[in-house]
Amino acid sequence: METKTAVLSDKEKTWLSRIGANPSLLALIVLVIFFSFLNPRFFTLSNLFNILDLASLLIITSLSLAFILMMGSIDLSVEGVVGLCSVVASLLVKNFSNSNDFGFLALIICGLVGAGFGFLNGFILSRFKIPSFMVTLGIGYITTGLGVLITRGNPVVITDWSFRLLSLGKVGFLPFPFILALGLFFIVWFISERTAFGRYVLALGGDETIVQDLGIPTSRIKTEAFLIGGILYGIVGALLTARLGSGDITAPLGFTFDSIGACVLGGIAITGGVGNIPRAIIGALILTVLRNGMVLMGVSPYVQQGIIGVILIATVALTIDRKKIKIMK
Amino acid sequence: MEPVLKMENISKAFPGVRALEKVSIEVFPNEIVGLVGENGAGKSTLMKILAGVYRADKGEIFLRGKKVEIKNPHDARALGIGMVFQEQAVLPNMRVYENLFLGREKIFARRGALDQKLMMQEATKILEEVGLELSPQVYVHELNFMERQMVEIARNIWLARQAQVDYPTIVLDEPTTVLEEEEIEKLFNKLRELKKRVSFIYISHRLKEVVELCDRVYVLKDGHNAGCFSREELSEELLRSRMVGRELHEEYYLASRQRKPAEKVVLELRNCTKKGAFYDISFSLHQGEILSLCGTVGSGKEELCRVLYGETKFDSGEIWIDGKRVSINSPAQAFALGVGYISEDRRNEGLVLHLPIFENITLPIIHRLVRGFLVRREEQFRLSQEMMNKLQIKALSPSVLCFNLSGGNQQKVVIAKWLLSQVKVLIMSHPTRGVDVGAKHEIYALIREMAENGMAMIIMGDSFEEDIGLANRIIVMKDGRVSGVLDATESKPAPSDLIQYVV
Repeated sequence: METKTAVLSDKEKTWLSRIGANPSLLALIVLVIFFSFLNPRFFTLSNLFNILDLASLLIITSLSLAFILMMGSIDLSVEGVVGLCSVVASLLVKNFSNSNDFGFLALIICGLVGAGFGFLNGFILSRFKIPSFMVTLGIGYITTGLGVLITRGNPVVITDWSFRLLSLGKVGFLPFPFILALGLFFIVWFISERTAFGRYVLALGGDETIVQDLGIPTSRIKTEAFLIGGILYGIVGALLTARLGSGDITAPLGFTFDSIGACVLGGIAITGGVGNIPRAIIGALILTVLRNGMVLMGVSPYVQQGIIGVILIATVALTIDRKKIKIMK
Repeated sequence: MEPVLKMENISKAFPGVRALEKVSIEVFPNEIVGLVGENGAGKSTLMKILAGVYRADKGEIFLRGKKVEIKNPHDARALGIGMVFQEQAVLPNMRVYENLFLGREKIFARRGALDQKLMMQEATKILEEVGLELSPQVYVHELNFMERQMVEIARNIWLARQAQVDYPTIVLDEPTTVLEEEEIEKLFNKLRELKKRVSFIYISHRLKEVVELCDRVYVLKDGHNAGCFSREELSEELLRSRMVGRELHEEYYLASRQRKPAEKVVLELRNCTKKGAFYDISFSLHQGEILSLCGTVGSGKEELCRVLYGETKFDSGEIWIDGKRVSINSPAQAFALGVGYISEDRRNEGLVLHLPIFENITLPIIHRLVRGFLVRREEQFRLSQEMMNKLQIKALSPSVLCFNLSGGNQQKVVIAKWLLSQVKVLIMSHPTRGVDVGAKHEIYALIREMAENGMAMIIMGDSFEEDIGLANRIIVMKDGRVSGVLDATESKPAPSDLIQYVV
């Protein structure tokens, strides 16, 4: 019997070999070095904190997508739910449209609203066995529609300055949203690695029938994963309102595919079963560094989108598990 | 001694088939019990009943003397019955210890968080117990087939212990098919060691291994018990003779309509090898010939056919069609060269179920029915109606969806499709599977007619009788090589002649 002693245990690995084994982290480091050489303004303290600030919302939505992609599902309702929660937040704090003043309670209410739609996503797709792709697309439309209905399409301007500190405040040099994103990251990471639920999510992405045959309640797990995602979207909605000073259904345009893209860039396979939560944060940072670096270099925004598109396709081509997909449609 | 497991008078029928008829088996502690029989003899149905996948129509199951109801796989596991199938139930994307405890993590949870240290300790213990020397941290995709099997066995033993079952019963379904000689020996040594604590039911087509390993062997035939033999009386010869021995009704397969094939060779294989599947296969197929490929699942015959219709490629060798050397890289290319394929899985591979009959029948030749940019629908209808009349496909009109047809009629639509496209060589995998007796007969008649019209066919039948009855010539494959070639044109060989080459 050959033994597998050649495989190093986690503790034996040096930090250098870990970076080598993680191409996404390597890519992030190379990108940072690359932009630092090209533009002296890139590697400055203010710009680096700026990047963390810019990345924080994307990190939070990517945490959700990481869970969902690892499970083998997808979530296209990010923009809708975030947008609706942004509107809800703006209507709950002091604003020009009504006389509410819930203050920071609005953040929690947004989390609950998001949780509600996340639950709906998970419940519908597991109960009626509809692909997550369709269900979340539908919920995305519904939430966007609701947001437009409530606001008649106009942004709701808020006047609660203390609420805006949620996004604009800093602790020392660190932007507050990034601290929050980091906190959520550790919670979600813990759930993923150290709870049975978290492991089932990954197992489901590996092979659903095997998981089911072992008597694991797959429907409940799917619902819970989408519910957690919903909570995160709610928080992002509130943060977005705090950042922009208004609740706007159209503000999170692009969030859905940015989050999916971040996960893919971080090395989470869209076919499910492969990945971990830190990869989401790495992916989100890659995407943000790319954008920031290209802006500093004066690359046209249209060209920027194109470059990101090319990188995304290349990454998927390298990481996708083709054994799982017999025919691409 | 009391048996650990007793299945008594188990009967099970599927639409059109009696899968099991009063089958009984017993398993004692410290025993490896073999279960052998032809394809379709009922082995897997019996085991699926034990695993809770199917429910028996009649009969009782006793565990350690107590009558039990096994309603689903979950029940079976709780009663200490484990299954290790060829399609492995381990998740390659997770670590060994995670696989071992999947679904039972609760007992390792401390305030909601999993105690990984404890899991590792427990995993190391079980792995040691089954003699698997590897770190529980390793990902399953890094393990080889046998190691994965052992992980599954370890999981089943552990699960049984959790359910407080002392002597679990673990079913091993064809565990050696993909193993090398020396791995098989290792596996057997492990099993012999493990039987101190576990009873095994060992299903295999490889009689030599069954004789070597098993303490007792049950033979099933056509869903009946066909004998049980202890270690002392066991021999390959004996098992072989009990596995076959049905009477053959020649006319059932319309042997009188059988003709001598033409001289012309339509397809020839020269020294074809695909590593891990088949080695050095050469044969030629004549116009109007029906050639049967026999062999167990995993003998390489399926792989060989997949190469012929272009789904996979071989590593070395030559294919000649009509005297020209060709290469077949895709099913489309195979079709262009005149090779058609009828899959056993016609619902997924043979038909577009949600399209009407006429669309299905004319699908391969649709480019011939085009005028300008448009497909001539009236021509599609006319041709389809013609085929439907000829093949007696029972449907109101060509626009009925294939979804609504019976298995036999669906199969006829598939055959019609290839008839219309005038392929020269037709490969048929289990053409009568899941088809009732009447339709079977009609399909046999069709096969005869196609042969008379000069089509060459390669058939993998559902039983030896079918293979023998239909074929002009039979090629038997075993472990990827041709183990025998029998002529069936002049006189039909008996199934017992055949089986010695098969197992």
